[in-house]
Amino acid sequence: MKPKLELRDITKMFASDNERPLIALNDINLSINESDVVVIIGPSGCGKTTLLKIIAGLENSYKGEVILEGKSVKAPGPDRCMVSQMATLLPWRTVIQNVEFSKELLGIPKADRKKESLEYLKLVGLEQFAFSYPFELSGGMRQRAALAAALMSDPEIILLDEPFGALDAQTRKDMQEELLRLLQRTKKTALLVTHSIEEAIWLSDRIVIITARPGRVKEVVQVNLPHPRNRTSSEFIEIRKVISEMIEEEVKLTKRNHV
Amino acid sequence: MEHVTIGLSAIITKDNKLIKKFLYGLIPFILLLVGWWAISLRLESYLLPSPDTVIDAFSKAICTGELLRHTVSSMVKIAGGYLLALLFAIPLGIMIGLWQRAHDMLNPLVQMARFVPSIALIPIIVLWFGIGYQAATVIIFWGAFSPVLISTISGVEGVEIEYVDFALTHGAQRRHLLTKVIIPAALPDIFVGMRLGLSYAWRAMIAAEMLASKFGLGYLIMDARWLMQTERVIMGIITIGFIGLLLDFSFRSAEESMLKWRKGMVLK
Ligand SMILES: Nc1ncnc2c1ncn2[C@@H]1O[C@H](COP(=O)(O)OP(=O)(O)O)[C@@H](O)[C@H]1O
Ligand SMILES: [Mg+2]
Repeated sequence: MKPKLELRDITKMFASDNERPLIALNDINLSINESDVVVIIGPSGCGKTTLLKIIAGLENSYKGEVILEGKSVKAPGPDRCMVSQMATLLPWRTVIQNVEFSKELLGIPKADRKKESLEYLKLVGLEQFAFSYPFELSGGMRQRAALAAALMSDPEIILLDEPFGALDAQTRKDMQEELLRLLQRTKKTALLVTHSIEEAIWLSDRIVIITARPGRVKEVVQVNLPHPRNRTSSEFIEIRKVISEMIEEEVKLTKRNHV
Repeated sequence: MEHVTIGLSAIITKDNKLIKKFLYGLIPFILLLVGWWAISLRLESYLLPSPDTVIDAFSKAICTGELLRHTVSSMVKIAGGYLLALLFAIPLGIMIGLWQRAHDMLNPLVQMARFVPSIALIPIIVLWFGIGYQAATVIIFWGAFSPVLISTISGVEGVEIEYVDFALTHGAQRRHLLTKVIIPAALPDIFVGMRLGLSYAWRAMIAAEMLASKFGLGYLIMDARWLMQTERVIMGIITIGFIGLLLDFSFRSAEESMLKWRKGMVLK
């Protein structure tokens, strides 16, 4: 089967204060199949956000190639919609205006896009907040609104940067369930960044572990457990242990490099 | 019965708040009026006429249509010069804000122009345009131009990159960015500049009318001064302040309804 998304030899450097440029990502290779949920996990500062932005077309001057359905892509586009770490919405637009933004850009008539965006808002449980402004929403509600906006643009792959990082434990669990339900229902391919090993195992088909800076793919772990997954099953705990050890190794490396 | 009372009291408290706010704002005016009246009893009328003399002057000027004529003249001038300034300053500010080379080229000039007040231009403008609407328009234009331009530039330059990224990742093309992201994001700053520009333009206009005009509220004050009619001078001053207050109030209402997406504006 032809992969949905392929990353070939992605290397990204940033100019830094001292002479040597900062290597954020080094030779990243990855391929993601249709309808897969892939989770990227790695120590903070290893280039996860940078990688998502490169795929989304929001970074320029990197080496390597992003290939979507066999075609090399560079410019940003709604086919690789990214939800940012802060669940960015346009603050001068109401929730529904944010959700229908992608359709408005396509010139779809107002009545049609309103109907569709209300459906998506219902899907994420925000229909009573359709006409609120983003500043009136809680963190979890903003995440759901941003997710609805991303789904509405009907991407080939949806990119989520630590979507639940800022939420409390209970909201986080609810949102994970909701996300999984949405992804299964819309059959979307998703690439998601997280800090939480448990979240990674609970959601994903595959987990990509990135090394400490410069970020490289350390390991790809296949998760073959049926949904809904049980966080306390022995298989779950076994995978968690394996991944924890790999990440601890990386964190130690980061610390040693800094001393 | 109970919930009816609660509903009613909610309405009353909401109204009460507005009335209270209005009454609080009124207190200094009343104190000023009393103080003025008390002092005017001790002074010659040509130094400080009493409030009722000024009220007489008002009623006379309203009846003869003199006050209306000068007010309309000032309003027409400010409208023309101010709108012209917006028409040039906002697009230019957006261009400078978006285009680094234009910024590098024009910024020194803009910063210098900012420190040249309209009043300093009056002699040369009168020389070129004579006394009348043209001269007034240019002077008002100059007064409003810099604040609007500078706020627009900083508004555009301060647009968060995350909003641009949001638009791009949802399918915006370059041509969409100006109307869908840059202008709405910069609007609060543009409004600040517009309000500041309006007050600068209003002051510049009054000064211009006092020095080089035959109409308008500034001229009215000067005219009264030559005739030693202090009560008409004070009438002119009060009218100027009152119209300024009205302009600012209507401006703020427009701003509030257009920027209700901002947290701070709604809560106030
Ligand atoms: N615009 C930038 N300029 C310079 N350095 C940057 C920039 N963006 C990110 N970096 C650096 O690149 C590295 C990776 O950043 P990021 O992708 O945000 O990491 P992560 O999301 O994994 O925490 C960090 O060390 C960060 O400081
Ligand atoms: Mg990050």
